[in-house]
Order: sequence, then structure tokens, then C-alpha cells
Amino acid sequence: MKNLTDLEIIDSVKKGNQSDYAIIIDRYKNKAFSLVKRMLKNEMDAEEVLQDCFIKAYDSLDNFRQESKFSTWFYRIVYNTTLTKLSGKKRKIEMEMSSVEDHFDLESDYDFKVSEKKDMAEFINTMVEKLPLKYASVITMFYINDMSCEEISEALNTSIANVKVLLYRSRNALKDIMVKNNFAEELL
Amino acid sequence: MKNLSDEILNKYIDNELDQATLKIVREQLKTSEVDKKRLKALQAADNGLKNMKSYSVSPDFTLALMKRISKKSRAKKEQQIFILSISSIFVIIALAIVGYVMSIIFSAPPSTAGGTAVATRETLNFLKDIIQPVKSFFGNVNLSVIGSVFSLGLLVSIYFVFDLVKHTKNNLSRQH
Repeated sequence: MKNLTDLEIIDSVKKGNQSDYAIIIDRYKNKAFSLVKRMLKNEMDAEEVLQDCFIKAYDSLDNFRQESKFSTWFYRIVYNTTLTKLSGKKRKIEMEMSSVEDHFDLESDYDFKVSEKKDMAEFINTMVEKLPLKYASVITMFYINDMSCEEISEALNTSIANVKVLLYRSRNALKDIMVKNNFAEELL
Repeated sequence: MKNLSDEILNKYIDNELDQATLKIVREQLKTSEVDKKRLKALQAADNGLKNMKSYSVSPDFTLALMKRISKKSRAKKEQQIFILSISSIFVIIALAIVGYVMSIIFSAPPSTAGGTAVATRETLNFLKDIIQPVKSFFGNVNLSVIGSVFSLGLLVSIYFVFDLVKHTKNNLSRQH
């Protein structure tokens, strides 16, 4: 059963096998959670928001016309639901302001005491969490959720060029810190 | 010599460069130590991001979520039953009214005036035959049965209304 494709599972759920939806949940819960948590920058609400996302997707399964992959469609729901949650916390303004044109400076935020070159994974994680919302979303979708730039652009409702700009800028910011601190050797 | 742009380096690690540009970039990387170092750092950043930590939800996440979904589906079904019961009650009432009006119409003596009186009488007789069972159905004894069914329907509807209000209140308090 677990080897079935997303579409086969969805067909089964639509036919009334509600319990099959658990397979979809298990398949996407951790990847989607990583996205929600990085967007909210707060673990407390992330699980609740993710539950709402899965319920929203379940209720809208009839509207899923299979024009895109289920994962892309689902991550769009996740992204938009999290944005709605953020807007409730008045953080949407911050997100809107951090458009592609805006610049950010990871170096000024970087706390050298937190990662003393020992735990590089922790260092990368800290850096990604410091990224503005859209950048962190793109990075998580690209690296954790294994989405292509085209799929990310669909999920975020933006152009592929914009996605690439966000992706490159995030990498470059990280690269600059690495060059400055000679971290590159340790990760290669 | 001009350094390679960040965009070119990013496209290089994503294998998005065309053959001609790729050749130029490779040549440049052979000669420029600065670009080589920048590329190395960018690849390190890319590798680091590939090994980035993925967060995990709590172990009972799926179970709790499936419970929520099945509860929601049940509430939806109850709502459908409620709407169906209300609609049924209205249909029964409408049928009762139509039946009653028809019985009054066909209880009246048929008109004998006019040339088409025979045909009309025939039609009325035919209709009377059809209406008769309906009329007897809505007789004194059956009327009390219909009344009982109607009362029962009303009670069921009231139950569902209260249940719906209770659910809505619970949901609202949970959201806040």
C-alpha cells in the first residue's frame, strides 16, 4: 500500500477509504513541518497549522485537478495557510517587505559563539532560520522537499526567475560567511 | 581578468550552463584562484544545505489528525442528515396540503353544463380513482399517524439543531 503513488492513494480516499489518507500524511508530515516551522520561526504553532493544512487539503481533494503534482498542490496550501497564520500575527508585513529586491545581511546576525565550526549542520540550520521568510521557504522547498524551481514557482505563485534569485542569494549569503570564516574546507 | 559572477557560479553547480559558457567557466577556474575559492565555498554552502536538518512532528501526529478528520466527516454527515430531515418534513407538509386541497376539489359535485361535460366528467372520475387512495390516506386515523411522524421529525430536527449549536460552540472555544 505504501508503494502506491500519491494519485492512486488520493483516488482511493475519494472512493471513501478515508484511512488511506494517513499514508499521505505520513509521506509529507515531516517535510511540510520543516517548511511551516521555518516560516513561522516558532515550533509551538507549527503542528497546529500543519494539521489545518492537511484538513484543508482533505476537504479540497475534489478540487485537485491533477494539473500539477500532488506535492506541489499540497505545498501551495501549506505555504498559503502559514502565510494566513502569520498575517494574524502581523508578520505578513515583514514578509511582504522582504521581497526579492530587499537585501539581508546574515553576517551581522551571525553569532560566532553559537557555532564554533564544530557542528556545521547546526550552523547551516541557524543561518537558514535567520533568512527572511521567502528565502527560507525557497531553501526548504528546494533542499528538504526536493522540489524543482518550477514546482516552487507554482507553489509560491511566482516566476521561476524569482525563485532562482531567492535561491542564489541565499546560497551566496551563506557562501560569503564561509569564505570569511574559512568554513568551506569542512563541508567539502 | 574579470571574476565570474555569482549567478554563473550558481548555474555552474546546478548544471544549468550551456556548453559554450561551461567551457569558458572551466578555463577561468583553471587560472583564477579567487574564483576557484568562491566556487569551493559555494559548493560547500550547497552541500551544507543538502544535509540541512529536517524537523519531525510528534509521534502521535498522524493518529491525532486522522481522529480530527473522521470527527469532521461525522459532523458533516450529521449535518447532511439534518438538512435531509428538514427537507423531508417540508415535502411531507407540502404533500399533505396538496392532498387535502385535491380531496376538497374532487369531493365537490361535477359540473354538468357544456358540451365537453362528459369528457370532463370522465377525466374527473379517472382522477377521482387516483385521488381516492390519497384521500383515504389522509383520513382521520392516518392524519393522527402523519401528525405523530411530523412531531417525531420535528423532535429529531430540534435535536440536530442543538447538537450543531453545541459543536459550533466547542469549535469556537477550541479556536480561541
